[in-house]
Amino acid sequence: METITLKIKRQERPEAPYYWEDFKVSYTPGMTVTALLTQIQKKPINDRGEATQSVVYENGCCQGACGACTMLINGRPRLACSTIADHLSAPIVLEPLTKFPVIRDLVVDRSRFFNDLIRASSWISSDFNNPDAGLVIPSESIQKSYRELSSCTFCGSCLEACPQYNSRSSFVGAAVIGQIRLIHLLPMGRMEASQRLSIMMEEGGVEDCGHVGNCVKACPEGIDLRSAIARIEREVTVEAVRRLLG
Amino acid sequence: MTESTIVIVGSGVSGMSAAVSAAQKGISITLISNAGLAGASSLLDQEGLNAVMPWKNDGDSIERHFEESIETSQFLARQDFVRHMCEEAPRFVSYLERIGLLFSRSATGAPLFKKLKDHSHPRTLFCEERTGFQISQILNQQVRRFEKAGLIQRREGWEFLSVVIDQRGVCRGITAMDRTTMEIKSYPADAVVMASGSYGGLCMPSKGGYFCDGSAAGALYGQGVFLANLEFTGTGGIWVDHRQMTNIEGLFAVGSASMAYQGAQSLPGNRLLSNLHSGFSLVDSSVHYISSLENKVSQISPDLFLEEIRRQHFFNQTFLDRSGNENLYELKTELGDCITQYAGVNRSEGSLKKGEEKIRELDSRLKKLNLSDHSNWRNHELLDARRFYYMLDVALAVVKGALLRRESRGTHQREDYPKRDDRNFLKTTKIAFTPLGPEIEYEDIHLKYLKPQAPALAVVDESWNRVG
Repeated sequence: METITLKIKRQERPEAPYYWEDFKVSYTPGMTVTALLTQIQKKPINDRGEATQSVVYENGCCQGACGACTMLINGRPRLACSTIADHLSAPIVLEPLTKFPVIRDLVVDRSRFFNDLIRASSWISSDFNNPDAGLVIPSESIQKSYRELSSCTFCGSCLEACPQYNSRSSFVGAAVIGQIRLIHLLPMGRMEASQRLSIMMEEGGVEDCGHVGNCVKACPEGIDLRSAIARIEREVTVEAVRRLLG
Repeated sequence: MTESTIVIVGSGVSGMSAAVSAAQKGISITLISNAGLAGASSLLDQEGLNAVMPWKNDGDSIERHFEESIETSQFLARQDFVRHMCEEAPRFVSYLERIGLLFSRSATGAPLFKKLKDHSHPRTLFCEERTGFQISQILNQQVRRFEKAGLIQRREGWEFLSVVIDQRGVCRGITAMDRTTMEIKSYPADAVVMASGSYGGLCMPSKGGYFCDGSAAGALYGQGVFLANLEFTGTGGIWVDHRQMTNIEGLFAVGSASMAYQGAQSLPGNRLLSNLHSGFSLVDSSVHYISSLENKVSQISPDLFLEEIRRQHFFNQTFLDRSGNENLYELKTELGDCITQYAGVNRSEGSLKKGEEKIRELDSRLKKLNLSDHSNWRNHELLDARRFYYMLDVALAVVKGALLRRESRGTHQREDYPKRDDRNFLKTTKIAFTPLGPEIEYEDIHLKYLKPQAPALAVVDESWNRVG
C-alpha cells in the first residue's frame, strides 16, 4: 500500500500559537481527504514516529451536502469529504479556513456566517394553517436560477475566497446575498423584499462587494453568485430611488 | 412565560418541524443539536415526498397510500399515525410550496410524480435528486425566522448527554455538553422531544452521516427508556405511545428517532413525510401533557440537575482515565464490520450469535481504551468514546432482537426462518436495558384499520370509507 504525507496546521486552542505537523498515512486511489484524516484517528503518530493528539476536524454528512468539513486543502477552500486525494499534489497541506476564528486544528467557528443568515431574513413568512394563496409557478428560467441558488450548502468557501470578507469588515458575503436573491425569485418572497433590501443598504450590505468574482470560482456547487449579487445591487438601487420618491 | 419549557434534541426535518410548528403557535422552544443541519440525515434523503394530491385524477387515493404504507411496513407501523399522515400529506405539500419549495415540474408547469417501488401509483414529489436537502433548507429558513422573532432558541454545537428524571419518574429536562468548551449544562424543561434520528451510523462508513449513530437513543435506553423494533434495519427506534411519548413521562420521540411510522420496512418516499408529520403532530400532545402537569419544572429543586451534571462529569472521567492500548476508531470500524457481516441482509441464528459475541468482545476492549486526547477543549475523541459506549448497547439490542424474532419480515430476513409468522410475531419488539443485556418483550399491534388477512386486505373500521 502507498503512503502519502499530510501536512497539517494545528492549534490546540484559539489563543494558542499554531504549529505544523506531518503525518504519513496509507493511501489507496479514490480516497477522500476525510478518509485520510480517519487514518490519523486510528493511528495518531506523526511522521517522526511520535505519539501525538489526534487531529480535530469536522465531520458531517460525508456526502458533500452539509458544508461542515470545509477547510483549506493545498491552499484552496474545499470540502474534505468530497475531495479525492488522487489529483492533489503531495504533501497535502491542510489548514483551517482563515476567515473564521479557529476553535481547534481544522475546526473553525462559523457563527458570524449563521448570524448574518438570520439578519438577512431570507425566508417566507407563512404558516402551516395559513390559507393557500394559489401557487404562482415561476418561469423555467427562474426555476433554473432557483435550483442553482438553493443548492448552497453554507460551506463558506465563497467567504474564504472573498477579499472583502474579513474580521475588519462587516460584509455579509456572497452566500448570504445569494439567499436573498433566492427568496426574491419567488412572488411570495418579494412581499417582504423592502425589509431585506434595507439590510442590504446598511453597512456590510451588498455595496461592500468588490466585484472580484472569487466567490464564483470558489463555490463547490458552481453557483453564479456574481449574477445574484448584481441582481440584488440593482434591486437596492431601485428601492433607494423608490424611497427617495416616497 | 419567558422560560422555554420544551426542549427539542435534534435539528433534522422532524426536530425543525416540531420547533417551527410550536413557534407558529407562539410557543417558545429550545432547539439543541450537535451540528445543526450537518448532523441531520434528512439532508441526504433522495427518495422524495409521497402525497396523493386531491386534483390528481388517476385512480389513486389516500386509502391506497395508507394501505400500501401499512402493507410495506408488514403491519408493524402505527396505523393511526400513518393514516393521519397520508391524509395530511397534501397539506404538507401546499405548506412547503407556500414557504418557497419548488418541486420538480414538467415544461408545462405540472408537478412531476415518481412511481417508486411498492407503490401502485406515481405519487412521489421530488426536487430533482435533493428532496431531503431542499426540505431541510426550507425548514431551516423557517427556524431562522423564528429565531429572529425570539421564539426558537437554537443551541448548535451541544452534544446531548442524558435526560434528567425526577424521583417520580418524570422527565424534567436534559444535560448537554458544549462540544467546544466541554462545559456540561442542564436544560430544564417540562417536555423533552428526541428528534435525534435513526441509527444507520452503527455501521461505518454510514449512509446516514456521521452523527446518526443511535447513540442518543442508546443513552436514553441506559436510563430506562424502551427501544423497539431495532432488528428492522433503520426503521426501529425509541418506543412511543399514541402521544409519541416514551415510557418516561414528559419524554417524547419524533421522526426517525421513534419506531412508530415505518414498521418492518419503510414505503419509499414516506420517510420525509413521516418526519414532517411527526414533528408537526407533536405540539398538541406535548402542550396537552404540560397543561396536565401538577408540578412544573420551575418548582423542581436545582439539586436534581446538579446531580445529573456531576454524574456526567464522572462518566467523562471514566473514559479519560482508561489506560490501555485500544484505539477508539479501530473499535468503531470493527463494530460497523460486525453489524454488516453478522446482522446484515443475510442473518441467521449462527451469524447473530457470532455478532453478539463480537459486540461483547468490543465492550470489554473498550475498557482498555487509550485516548490520544485528554484535553478539555473540543475533544472529539471523548465525545466519540461516549457515543461508542452507547452504540454498543444499541448494537446488542439490534442483534438480540434479530435473534429472537424467528421469522422473516420486511428488512429483517432470517435465512433459517424465511417465512413471515403472523401468529407469533405480528408484534412490536419492545426492548428494555438491563446490565446483563437487553430484555425483550412482545407487544400486540393495534390493527385499527387494516388486518393482514389473505387473500384481500380486510377493512375493519367503517370510518375507513369516509376519507378521500
